Amino acid sequence: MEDPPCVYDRSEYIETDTGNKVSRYSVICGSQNIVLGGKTVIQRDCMVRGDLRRTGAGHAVVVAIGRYCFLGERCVVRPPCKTYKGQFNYYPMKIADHVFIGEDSVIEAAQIGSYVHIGKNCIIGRFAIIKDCCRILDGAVVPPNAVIPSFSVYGGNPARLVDELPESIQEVYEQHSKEFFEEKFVLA
Amino acid sequence: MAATLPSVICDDSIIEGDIIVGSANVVSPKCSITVAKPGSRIVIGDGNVFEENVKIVHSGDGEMKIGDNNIFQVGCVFEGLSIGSGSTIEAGANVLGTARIGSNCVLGAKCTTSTALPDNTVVFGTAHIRRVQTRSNRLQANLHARHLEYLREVLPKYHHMRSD
Repeated sequence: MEDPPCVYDRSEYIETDTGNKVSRYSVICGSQNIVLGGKTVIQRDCMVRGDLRRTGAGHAVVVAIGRYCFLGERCVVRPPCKTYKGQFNYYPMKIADHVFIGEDSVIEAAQIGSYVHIGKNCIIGRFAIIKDCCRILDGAVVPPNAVIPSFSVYGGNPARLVDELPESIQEVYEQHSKEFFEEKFVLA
Repeated sequence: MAATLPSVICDDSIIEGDIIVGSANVVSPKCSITVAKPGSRIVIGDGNVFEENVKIVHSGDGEMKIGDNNIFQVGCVFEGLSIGSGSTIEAGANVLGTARIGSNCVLGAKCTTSTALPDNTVVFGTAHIRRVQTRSNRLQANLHARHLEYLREVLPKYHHMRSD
């Protein structure tokens, strides 16, 4: 877990009032439908699709991302879609706090809990639900509609339970994400 | 799908070379469709969906044929010779240069193929296991039609469109 500090060009990142750092080279579609909780980092070439919203009038939050989250380079976050009662719709996606998403991952989950670590090159299928304190290994393919219970480690294609996490993992991930944001992620 | 509907192509996508696009296709932002060799071409049918970061590359000679109502999901790479109709290429899948994909096939997430897939083949898992699907794809076709309708309505509201 001891990573060296990563230094990024300050001019590349846009900092918001709540402390989010969003790369100018990321693609954020429909930003009026996206909520970032604060202190979240979105790296370059990420794609967040806020435009794929539920049809109907009024304001709708499509992608809600909590605090201290990290979206690695080239990852794609898009809400899931299905037909329900004969109506096709995209449905909102919730990502809670302290969630790490590695490079090149594709996320179409319905819900991701807090303290979740998703590795590189993962694919999280449509309407998957990932509960709190989980780890998804690099290259895992979580099938659509899967529910991943708390404190589990999933890996492989299709993803299966490979290990369990200790109860202390909440503090470990929390400390890791805070430390990363405050100390390791340096804008120069 | 009525044959007169124009295709919805986002301005943020890359479309290069001799490409004939049919009607009612949807090309999402950051998708690239390219023909590498002069003289070759890609012929795209009707009602296909190309999602983000999809790469369609035709580097060989002659024509690459893409049928109707196929869906290319996020980040897949298609370099094959042809694809039928109603097929799904899932996220992160890879179709290599010598492959021909039939109709109603599903190439699962992160699967690779370099050989031909006959009609109704499903490829899945780490070992790229193949199986023939026996269920009709009526549901999938229905979903696809509605998905197309939705995307054609919503995408122009949020993105700049390419006017051909």
